[in-house]
Amino acid sequence: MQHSFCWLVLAALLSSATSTAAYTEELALHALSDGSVLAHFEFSTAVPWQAVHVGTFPAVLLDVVRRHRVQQLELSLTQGRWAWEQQREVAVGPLRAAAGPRPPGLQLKVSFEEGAAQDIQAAYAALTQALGGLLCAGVATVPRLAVMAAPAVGWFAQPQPVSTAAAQPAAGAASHSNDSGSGSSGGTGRQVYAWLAQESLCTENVAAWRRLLPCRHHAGLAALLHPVQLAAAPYHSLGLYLWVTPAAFGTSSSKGAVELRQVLTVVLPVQQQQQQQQVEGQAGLLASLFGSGLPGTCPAAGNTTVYLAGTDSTAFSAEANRTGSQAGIPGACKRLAVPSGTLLACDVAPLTLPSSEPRPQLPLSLLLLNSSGSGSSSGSGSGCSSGNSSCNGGAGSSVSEPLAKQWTSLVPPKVVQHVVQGGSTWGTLVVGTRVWAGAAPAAAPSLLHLMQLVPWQLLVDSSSVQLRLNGEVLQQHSPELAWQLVDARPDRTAVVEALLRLPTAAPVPAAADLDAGGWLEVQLAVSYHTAFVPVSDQAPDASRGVELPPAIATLLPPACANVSSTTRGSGNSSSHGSGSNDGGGAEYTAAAAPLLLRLQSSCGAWQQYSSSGGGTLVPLPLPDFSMTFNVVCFTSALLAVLLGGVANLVLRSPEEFADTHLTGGLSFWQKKKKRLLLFLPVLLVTLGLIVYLDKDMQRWVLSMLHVVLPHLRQGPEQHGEL
Amino acid sequence: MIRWLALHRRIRGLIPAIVRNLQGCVWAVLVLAVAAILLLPLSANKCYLDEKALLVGGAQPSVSQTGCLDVCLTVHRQLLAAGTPRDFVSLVQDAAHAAAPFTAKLAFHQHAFSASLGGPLARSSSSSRSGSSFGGNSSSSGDPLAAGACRTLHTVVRSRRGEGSEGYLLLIPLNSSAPAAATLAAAAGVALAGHLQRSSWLAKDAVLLFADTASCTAEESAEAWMLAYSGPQHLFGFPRAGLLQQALVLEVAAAAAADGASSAELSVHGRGGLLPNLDLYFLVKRTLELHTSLPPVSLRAATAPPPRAATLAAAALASLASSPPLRLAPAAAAQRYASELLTAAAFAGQLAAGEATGAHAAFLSRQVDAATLVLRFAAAAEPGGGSRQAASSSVKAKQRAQLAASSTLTAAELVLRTFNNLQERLHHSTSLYVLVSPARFVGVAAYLAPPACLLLAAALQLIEARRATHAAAPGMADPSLRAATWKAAWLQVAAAHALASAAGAVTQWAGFWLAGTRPGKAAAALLLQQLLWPAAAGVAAAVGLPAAMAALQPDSGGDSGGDEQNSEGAQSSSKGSSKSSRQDGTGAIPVQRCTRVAGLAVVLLQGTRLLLNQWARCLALLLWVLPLYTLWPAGSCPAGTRGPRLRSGLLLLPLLAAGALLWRVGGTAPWLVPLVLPHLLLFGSALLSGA
Repeated sequence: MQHSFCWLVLAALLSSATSTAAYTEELALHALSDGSVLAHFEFSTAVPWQAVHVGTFPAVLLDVVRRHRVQQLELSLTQGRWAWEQQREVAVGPLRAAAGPRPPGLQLKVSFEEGAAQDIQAAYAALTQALGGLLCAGVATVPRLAVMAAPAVGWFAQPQPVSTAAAQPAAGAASHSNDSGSGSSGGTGRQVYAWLAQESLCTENVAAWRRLLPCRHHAGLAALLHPVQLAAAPYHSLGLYLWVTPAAFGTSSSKGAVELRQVLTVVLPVQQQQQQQQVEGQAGLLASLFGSGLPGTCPAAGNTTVYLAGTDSTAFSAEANRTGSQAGIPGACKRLAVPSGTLLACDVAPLTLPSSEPRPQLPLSLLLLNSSGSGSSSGSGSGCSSGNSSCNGGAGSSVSEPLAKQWTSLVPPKVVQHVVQGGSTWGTLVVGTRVWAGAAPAAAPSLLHLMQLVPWQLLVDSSSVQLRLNGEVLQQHSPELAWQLVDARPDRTAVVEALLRLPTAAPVPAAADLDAGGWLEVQLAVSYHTAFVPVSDQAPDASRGVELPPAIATLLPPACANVSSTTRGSGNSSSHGSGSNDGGGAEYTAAAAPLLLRLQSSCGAWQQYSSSGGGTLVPLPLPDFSMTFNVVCFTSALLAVLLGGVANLVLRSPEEFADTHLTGGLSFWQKKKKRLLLFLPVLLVTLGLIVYLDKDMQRWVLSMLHVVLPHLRQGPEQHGEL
Repeated sequence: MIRWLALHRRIRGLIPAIVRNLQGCVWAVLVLAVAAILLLPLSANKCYLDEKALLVGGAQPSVSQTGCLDVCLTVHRQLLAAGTPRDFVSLVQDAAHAAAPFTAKLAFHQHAFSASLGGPLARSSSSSRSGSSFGGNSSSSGDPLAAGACRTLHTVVRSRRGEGSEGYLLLIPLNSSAPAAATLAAAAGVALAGHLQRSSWLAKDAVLLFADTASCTAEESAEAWMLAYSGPQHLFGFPRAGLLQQALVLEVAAAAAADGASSAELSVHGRGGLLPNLDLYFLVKRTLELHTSLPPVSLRAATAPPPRAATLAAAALASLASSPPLRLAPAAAAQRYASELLTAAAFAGQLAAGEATGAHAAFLSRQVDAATLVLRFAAAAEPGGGSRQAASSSVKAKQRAQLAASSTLTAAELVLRTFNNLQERLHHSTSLYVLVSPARFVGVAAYLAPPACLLLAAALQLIEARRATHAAAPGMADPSLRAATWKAAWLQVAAAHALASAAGAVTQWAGFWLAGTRPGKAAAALLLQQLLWPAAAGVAAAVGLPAAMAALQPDSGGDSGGDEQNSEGAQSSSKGSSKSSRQDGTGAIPVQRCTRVAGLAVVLLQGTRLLLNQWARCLALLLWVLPLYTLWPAGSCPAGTRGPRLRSGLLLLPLLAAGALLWRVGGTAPWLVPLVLPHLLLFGSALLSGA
């Protein structure tokens, strides 16, 4: 009774706050042909920039954004990898624009407002501290350990408004059209990209992430997330996506609202799905997938929807007839058409009404049936990998013609990263990108943006950057090369960016084999040699090698390059979602469901990471710093022998050599004094060498100098700083 | 302080005494060096696992629980029952088909190459897929390769939750001319692949590589495959597993013993004296001992058996040590000592020869820790009489097959699982060791002592030879003449050293240019560094060592006029002698100044290189080059000095032996050859012409 009363109070409070902050909960499900299920949770909210009452928006986060004047932020914590074959299945389905892959570890993208802060570095450090506290993650270590750079062009591809994602590389192409050669500096410096492989997604991160939600884990779709289940998943990624929209014309402030999207993408494993099938009769869809049903919708949520991919009308009708006895299901679900197919949108609010006993449930067969329906489009991808020539006949399923057409245009690009080691101290990094030729129709060229970050431990030779398109080297003035930027400075993360106009190719036959041909292949090669890495700047697990961040390829079809055509979608998406939940069978307007809006307005842009997200390891000729005692002793002994022996030779005059067994000549203390005077230059040179090689020592010396000379403000820079 | 000064004075007083009895010291040190070599087995330690994260023994084999063992036996039985001889590709493919329900979605990639080209690709790779779920494409049909071409088939088992940035490899050589062993190995390989697919502990990607050893050796296949794996070609078609950290070559062969007893043998030698981390060797050995019923793992210390004379000498040494007059040790201990000495000699000899003892050498040369494990079973032997089908159906054959399959799968699973436990390269233990028995090793600290003694003997002998030279040359008593002569000689040496170093460096880099590799700025900087460093080291060696000798032999004189301090030790002449050395030893003082500059340069450069973890190479280079120049003929020596010089020349032999041992054992790469060779030639020609 007391519990119900609390919920009523909470609901009353939250419903009063919806005037300033709208909140929606969405879940997209796609059954993959290998038996696993892709589940994508999305919790969206927004608040006016100048609002006093933040409503469902996390107040701490809003304070951070306001204080540091963040324009856009994207943070993801990812564990595992999402196989490209599974991505391909999702790409040909209606949930194509729902979730994109993320690289394992921590990825942080921040864009600060123009003229926000004098010292972006300081603002960035404060921001990472705050985010680390919010998510119980090691975000605060990013400025020290992560691979970090300030690229010229943004890469906020998803799930921000489509127009922004599309416009950024296009704008980059325009702004850098006169800079097709190698540049020596980064962009404006307002945007920061960081990747930290060591920071994996843990249970406490999920708990902290859920605490940002208005109902936390007590109600709503977030109650479905169980940490143990997530930890067993081959891929799961949580994220925070936040951006500030411009204000409407005529308002006093330049900023309109702050929109926040909390997402969690998980690939539920095969075994679990198979086990849940056995209890199909007892439990509904959500209970089968997540172990427990929905306890109730979040009272703060204006909309709580579950999308099922791949539903066609026939399958749905059959299922509706079969489950007709279960009251309320047909009324709660509606079939919606999106550019890449149809999906079933089910409002789960009627299913969780406390008055109805027993509660109606979404049957698991609905998803499995859908998967069999969509499996015809993706079934040929089952078990197929690159290099296979028998994919089409493998699963024994035929490709329907409409979906086969989608196949030709919706294949995500495939990115591979490979290090060719020339020796222990140098090598070549090769990034290969394959774009399905069907994605570049004859009407207009698609844009392909490639970005590769190289950590400061590997010194990039900027003159060695080479781009090949289908095996042919692209010169600087090639029409296919829109622009290229190489920022290779010592002690900094090197950034190699290129924007290519993919040539318009003849349409690929619908039934073309993915492995037989029809790919456009772009290859980026850059040479490196290893830098001098002092002990203090080694990563904690230096023996593992240096981790190269995954290469990022952003494919922009012509529809995305046309910014004006997608701006409409952006405007809709930023309309603060004031749609109300009117019970079962509600009209799902774009304003009420940001995920649905994105599915409906997708232009086909795709951001892909190399090797399904994982980076590449580069071994460095490092001493073993994990065994400090042995290494230091051995190295010190060698240095002592060298230094002592040679110093003895250097510092003694021939007379002293001759007098080694005599006491004549200078007195004892005179000899010592003379030797000391001779030793001083050597000592100074050695100290100079130490200070030159050791960044920590430089910082210490400068801090000491700062005490003596207060006008010395600029401190020594860290390795890998922006 | 007073005590320290007294000790310091006593030590300084020892130096003239040592110098006076230098020849005796030389012989004493030489005897000590030889004794240290002979006593090396006594300093051996038991092998142990230094990397605790490997968790050897922490997991039980699960091949029986998952059905992997049954699948392996079934596949083996089916392949044997078919009876028809198969080629390499069809053998693997048939095995994959037979294991189809268990091993699903195995995508094998075929890589073809020609052994005649020394390993590089002869043509592009093709890919094929096998496995029951795909209907089984025939990859061998229509193969355009000519007879004698070599092939590999590999597949990558992806971990479900890993990131794909690192992996490990299992290489299984298959020789279709020995169908029993090949069938067993192929069945074990495909069953293991299915087992890995189902394993929940798989955190890194595993590469399963089958090599056709009918036409090529396993090492050639591994070399060609690694060339393709690490090359820029076939970015998309060639399945990769990131950075390979460890590898195991698992070879199944027929039992060598007449009674058909099973055995296991480990090989670790790579090319150029490379060795895997000792942890890798011992984890394989320990895993086999813990979880299989095989007898203790033996060590393949060398490719060739030790000569009979060495065996007889070892036996004689053992009997001498345990014989009644001496009774140094019990007979068993003496036998063990002799056996370990023989093994250590064979192991070190193999290292010095730089030849590999298995296919793992291809991985070792690319910084992948690897070893070769040869398992010999009676089930892998070709049936002598009767049909193969009958042999396969007999009860005894089934038991043998069960033992072979169980041992093979258990060993492979648990070794791969230990690889899987480690998220970095093996680095806690050492790669510098000499195995004196399968379970004991001598570490680098112990085996460096004998060469160090040899080098010390060489240095002392040089001083003695030089003193004798001066004593026998009355014309060299004039200090100014000596100084001028030595200055000219050592400047000549310095110039020669710089020239030789430059020639060596250019020779080394010419290989890259001839191979068509564009060196780039980084390579040019490295070349410059290589040219500068030996030049500086040469100058330091040339002008620094005479000063060191002068410090060590003050009574017989150095370059700087130390002869004025004669043995009579006239105190009154010390000031005058100093003054005279400044005046008449005109060449000496500039030489000393040059020493300071060059010495500083050496210290700085050497320190930098040490910090770059190239200490092994630096050490080898120092040990090679510096003593070499101490033997340089001292200008135009007068007659009557041939004896000491020849004695110095004879010292070159232990010096070279010590350097070679260090070079090989130290794990340095063959890139030192073009750097050291010019010095050797220069020195040899000068020595011969001078003598």
